[in-house]
Amino acid sequence: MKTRSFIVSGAPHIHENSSIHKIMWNVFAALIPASFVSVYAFGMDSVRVLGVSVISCIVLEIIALLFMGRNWKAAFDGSAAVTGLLLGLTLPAGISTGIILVGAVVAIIIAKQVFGGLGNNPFNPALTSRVFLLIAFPGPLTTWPLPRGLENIKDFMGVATVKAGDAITTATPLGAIKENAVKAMPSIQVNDLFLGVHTPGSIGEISALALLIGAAWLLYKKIITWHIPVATILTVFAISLLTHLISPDKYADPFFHLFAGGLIIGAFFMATDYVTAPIFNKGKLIYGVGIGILTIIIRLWGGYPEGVSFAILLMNSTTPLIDRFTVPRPFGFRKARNQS
Amino acid sequence: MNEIIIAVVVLAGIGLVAGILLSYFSKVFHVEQDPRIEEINENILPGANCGACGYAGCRDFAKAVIEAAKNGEDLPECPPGGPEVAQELASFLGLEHGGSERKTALVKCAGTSERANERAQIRSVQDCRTAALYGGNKECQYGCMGYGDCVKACPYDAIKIYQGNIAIVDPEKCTGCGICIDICPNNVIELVPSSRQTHVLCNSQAPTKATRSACSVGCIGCKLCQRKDKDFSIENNLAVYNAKKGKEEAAFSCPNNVIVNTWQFSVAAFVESTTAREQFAARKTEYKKLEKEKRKKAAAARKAKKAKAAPKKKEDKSE
Amino acid sequence: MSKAKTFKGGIHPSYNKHLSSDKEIVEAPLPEVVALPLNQHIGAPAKPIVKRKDKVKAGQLIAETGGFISAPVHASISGIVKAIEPVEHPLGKKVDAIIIESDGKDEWVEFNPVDNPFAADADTIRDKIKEAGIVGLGGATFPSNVKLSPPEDKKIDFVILNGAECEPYLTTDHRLMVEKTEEVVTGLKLAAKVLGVDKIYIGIETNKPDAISKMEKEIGDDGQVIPLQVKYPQGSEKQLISAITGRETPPTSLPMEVGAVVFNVGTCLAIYEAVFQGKPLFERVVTLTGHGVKNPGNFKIRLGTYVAELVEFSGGYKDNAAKLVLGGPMMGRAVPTDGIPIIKGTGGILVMTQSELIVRYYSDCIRCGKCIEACPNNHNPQLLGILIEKERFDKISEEQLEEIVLDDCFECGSCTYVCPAHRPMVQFFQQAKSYFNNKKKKR
Repeated sequence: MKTRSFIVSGAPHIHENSSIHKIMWNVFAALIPASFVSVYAFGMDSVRVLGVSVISCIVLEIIALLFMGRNWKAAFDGSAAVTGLLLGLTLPAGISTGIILVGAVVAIIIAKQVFGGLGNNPFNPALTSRVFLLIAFPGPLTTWPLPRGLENIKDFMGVATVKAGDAITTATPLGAIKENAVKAMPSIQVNDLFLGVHTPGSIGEISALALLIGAAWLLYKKIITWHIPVATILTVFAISLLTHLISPDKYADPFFHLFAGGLIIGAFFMATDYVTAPIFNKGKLIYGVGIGILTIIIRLWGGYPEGVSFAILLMNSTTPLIDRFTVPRPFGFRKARNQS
Repeated sequence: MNEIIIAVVVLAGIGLVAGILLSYFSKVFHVEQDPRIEEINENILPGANCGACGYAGCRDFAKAVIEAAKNGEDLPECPPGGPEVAQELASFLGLEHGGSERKTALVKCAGTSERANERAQIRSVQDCRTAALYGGNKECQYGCMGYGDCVKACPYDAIKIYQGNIAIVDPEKCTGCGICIDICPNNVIELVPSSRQTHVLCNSQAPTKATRSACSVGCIGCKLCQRKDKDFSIENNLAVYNAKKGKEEAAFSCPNNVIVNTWQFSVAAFVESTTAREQFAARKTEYKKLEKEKRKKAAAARKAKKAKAAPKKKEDKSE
Repeated sequence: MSKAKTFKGGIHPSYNKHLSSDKEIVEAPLPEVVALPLNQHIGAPAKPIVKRKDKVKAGQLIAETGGFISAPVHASISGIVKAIEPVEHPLGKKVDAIIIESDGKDEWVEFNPVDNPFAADADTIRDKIKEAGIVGLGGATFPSNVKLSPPEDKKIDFVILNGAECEPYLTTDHRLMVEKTEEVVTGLKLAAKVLGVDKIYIGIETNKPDAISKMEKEIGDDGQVIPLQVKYPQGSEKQLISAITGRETPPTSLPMEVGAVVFNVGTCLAIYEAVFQGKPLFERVVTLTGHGVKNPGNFKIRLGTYVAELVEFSGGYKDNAAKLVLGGPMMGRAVPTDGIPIIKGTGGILVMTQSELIVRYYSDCIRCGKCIEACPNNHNPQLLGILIEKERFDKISEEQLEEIVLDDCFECGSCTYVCPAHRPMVQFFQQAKSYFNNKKKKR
């Protein structure tokens, strides 16, 4: 009898063929529509910001991995690219390249690799970096260039445009609301916010529609679940509806809060970041509600016009706690306890 | 200016209150503790917190020592510290010390990938313990698999994986803590007194036939060593040596060169370097030659004796 | 027919059942030599009662039970005992086996069936099943007579036939249900009678419509065929019970706890043959399949036949055959050589090709939670995997994960199948289990 030898390995012997690589590049692809809108609205500036951000993040990741003696090819698994793109999308179009580079260093080195790389970072790298930049460079980070089609307006929602250098800048819708309360409301249509091409703001947050297209792709691909975004958005909607009903003069209507600012990009692309979000479905709902509450508190009563990034970072820190208290019941477990 | 003064006053006030509270509570909730615990922990023990003694770190061990001294029991042993620490502990506590010998770990396998037959090409496994679940990578199921779980586990960096996928312990660095012994799935590591100079470098308890087909340097339980040196014994098809220094003849008599005398070679050299093996082989042939000659001589002598005796006998018979 | 039932969690691998699901069971030729390992079952190994050079007939008892949970071994061919020596065993380590060289005559011992089994008393039938060496043929190899003798304080409400066959590739149970419908159903009814149960369920995944219709016709009013959703691991005992009866078996306890006993299709056939024909278990049906063999199919073989011999008979390997798995691709074991005997628990032989080998490096967990969704036992493979990888066994004991989670995990592999970081979770769990077993032993 002739025998033949074979390779031994552990079960199971088949795999779904999913990979971190595929997931991350799918997220990247889901952000492409929003990126296109931003290029339409802000032109080459947007290309510059996004390009510098993505490329510098990947390069820094390679450097960090080499420094730690790991496989540098892991830098192309897409996670650094997604971090870079998300960071770029949260910045104003007119920001200088130097600040972007500082942001990339904070995101990749300080927020991610110091903690052990992908999978071990307690806070979302892109958001950590954005908040760092917002605090370190408050001026450039709140200078919003006018998008295409608004070049010639004198004021946006009651906030006068300012000539800063060779660009004309103004406030974001949320900033305008903060400054002028609801007096500014009539001048902006929720429609415009939804399509986003005629509103100033961060590169990526201006068009809710483009972001929702990407989010739909992620949901279809089962890369994210509905729990976190739905919980977040419903919470924001509910609280803003309540405040609007109580005092329509003081507080904007709920649809405005949904589509203005970074709620959509935050809820679908940043809060759902696997590494920093709770892992169980129940925990995801709690986490989403928490983000929603914090966001709306900061928006309505806080010092900043926008609170999504702070809210997500704060909730990131509660993730281990939430995970601990939302462990689902193992199969057949409760019965055993009752019987004994 | 006013604000600054207020801030300073408030902060100082908080500090004062907190300080008073702290000092109060440290009195109220004071836990009585033997000062000797700290003394032992800081001044006598190695402080590596390796856990080899079975306690959760050196502090815990120190507590156990005090407890044992109080109850008049034997003091627990600190394997890395060895006899020196035991001596110091005993003198610190004013006790008599029995004395224990330093022990080091030994990997009882020399079956490098050239010498031992491969059983399976294992993929998706990077450690011995999982490989053992799949039956191991070598035909021999008792030997060192060479994935290096012990290397990772060793807190003293005393184990290395040498060429040919065999773990070898550096006796200089080894403290005899025994962590590697717990980790090894094939139980191929053993603690031996560091004064022992003759070792059996095989762990195969398989029957002769199986060992022979699996490895060229396996102990087949032939008992030839036992014939040369009574200190050797055969247990479960495996030669065991428990004395200090074996006879050279025993090593030379081994058909598969399983026995190493560290007064001739270091274990590492014997396992790893081919020159050491060649040297050993050369000495062995020389020894065999001598032996053969001796035997020839003895045979001749016997023959002569016989020849002398034979005619006599014949004569006797014929008569 | 109601909507197909199922459990929570699980995965949808590509099944590849078409390779062999239409192939009728073919009887393989008599092997030249067989190796019969002494432990082909869970529990104590059997004790050999033959010596070297003894002449044996097929069906003759050659090793008797070695304890309460144990099963005897019977010769599967007639010939001469060549040796009792360790051979490669499908479970990894080498174990002692009785090796019989065929004399080519294939003489069988005389069988003594039980007269009128449905009227016979339960103990007679249990003894007969025990004598025949029947164990669960689905892979768990739990001795069947033990399953048939529940403690008196446990009331058994259901007997369930496990026709789910959720493992990809395998078609053994499917073919048996189609070709040996009557025998299987009779065996099942007999088992139900021994247990004193009148509720019989037959769970079959909806991807076997021919089996469903045939079984429905055969069982008639005596039982009920439950169509099940096509999902892995639908055929796991506890998941099957929860899908059919809605009762969840508590961790670390047997399905008897919730009043259910589950039988594999092959086991029912073996029970039928043992009781009605008096034939001990020395033959079984296996699926030889995969893209690495030329002619996949279902074969009836003598136990102890070497895999190499069966493959040769079927038509041989393709050139790119690279991995040999005994069992299905999810829970089967890859073995280093095909010089390995087929034993009672081997339901399938899967030969995979070079291109089907999956990557072997893995990265850190990215907490995507896919394993949690996939876990049929609603555990958290993610956390446990990380703890084991970092060797935090103390933490595992502290969080009581050892008892509730680790012991209850049956290594279905769903978590590993879906993991995008390719973490070998099943390996981690096996490692931890052996760690805790060793610890218990040392204590």
